[in-house]
Amino acid sequence: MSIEIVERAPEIKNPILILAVPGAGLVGIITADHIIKTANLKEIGKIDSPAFPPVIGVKDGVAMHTVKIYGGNDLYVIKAEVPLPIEPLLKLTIAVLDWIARKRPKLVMVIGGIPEENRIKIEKPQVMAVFSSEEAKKLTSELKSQIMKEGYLSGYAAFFLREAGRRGVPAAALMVQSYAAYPDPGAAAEVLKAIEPIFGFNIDLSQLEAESETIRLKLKELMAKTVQTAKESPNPAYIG
Amino acid sequence: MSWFYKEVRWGYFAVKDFEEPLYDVKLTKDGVIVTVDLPGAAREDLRISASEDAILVEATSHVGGREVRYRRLITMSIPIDPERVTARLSNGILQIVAPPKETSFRRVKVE
Repeated sequence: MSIEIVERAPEIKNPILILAVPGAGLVGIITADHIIKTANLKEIGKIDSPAFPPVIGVKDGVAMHTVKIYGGNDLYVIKAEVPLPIEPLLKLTIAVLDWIARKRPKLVMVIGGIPEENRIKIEKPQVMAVFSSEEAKKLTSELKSQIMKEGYLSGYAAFFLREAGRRGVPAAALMVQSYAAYPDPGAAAEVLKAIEPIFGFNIDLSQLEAESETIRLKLKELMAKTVQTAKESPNPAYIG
Repeated sequence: MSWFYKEVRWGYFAVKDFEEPLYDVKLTKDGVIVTVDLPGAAREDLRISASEDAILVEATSHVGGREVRYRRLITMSIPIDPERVTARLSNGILQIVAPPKETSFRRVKVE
């Protein structure tokens, strides 16, 4: 089944793109929401497919798409507002990478949580980066994160980096220690501090800190759905 | 087609008397470790009751100018010792450690 990407604004050349899908601690979603708010990004498009789950958003009684494109400030943010099962998620990722490759992006990023059992005892979660290539690593020397030196990465971030690499798209996966099953605005704040230098604007974290509890409560249902989707998935490693 | 019948809506701030907080249960050598996500909850507004087979968590908090009441009954996978249950609240995350009930044997006189 095909994926349809609709962009309703003049395209941005050489953009940075952040692809946010629900995962551990909803770190990607919280980060994306805050960037959309801080950078005043506008909703400029949608992504839809019959392969997506039969879920719609509802606002004031009107059906809304659940995968939205936001743009502005040389930046795209694509946000999936509902957890996607593996097959549609992988199709979405491929379609987005094919779409963004034509815009010659500066960098494409996914942000994810690394479930950490002792997260409750960690005041400042560590952010770790993995890149699709040496070129991508050089392009992002401003990132304030540790680089994963050696080892293996599995799951959605691994798929994303491999597919980006195949297309020659400079990409990074930023992973942060987080709660597995609770929304984690604290972990998202650390990611935002790490990625701020690559944007041409400042990210004010005070609002995120002030609204941390509201965010946790608001995202409770999405978190529960994400955990449920991961459990029902034949290979849970792809989500989270 | 089961999805068709499963549910029709889920969303933010659904109207209900109590919020059921997210929780996670782990079985370790020290017993059962339960963590519960209670955004905005303070120690004085929290009530935890324990029995041998379940823990009841109740709390009231104010989040974004709105009163939120939490309530969740968490059943234990093994019998626990309610007298030795301990709890710690940090940044709205509650961690409960419930040691297992120790089995004691009493000699039975055979008549």
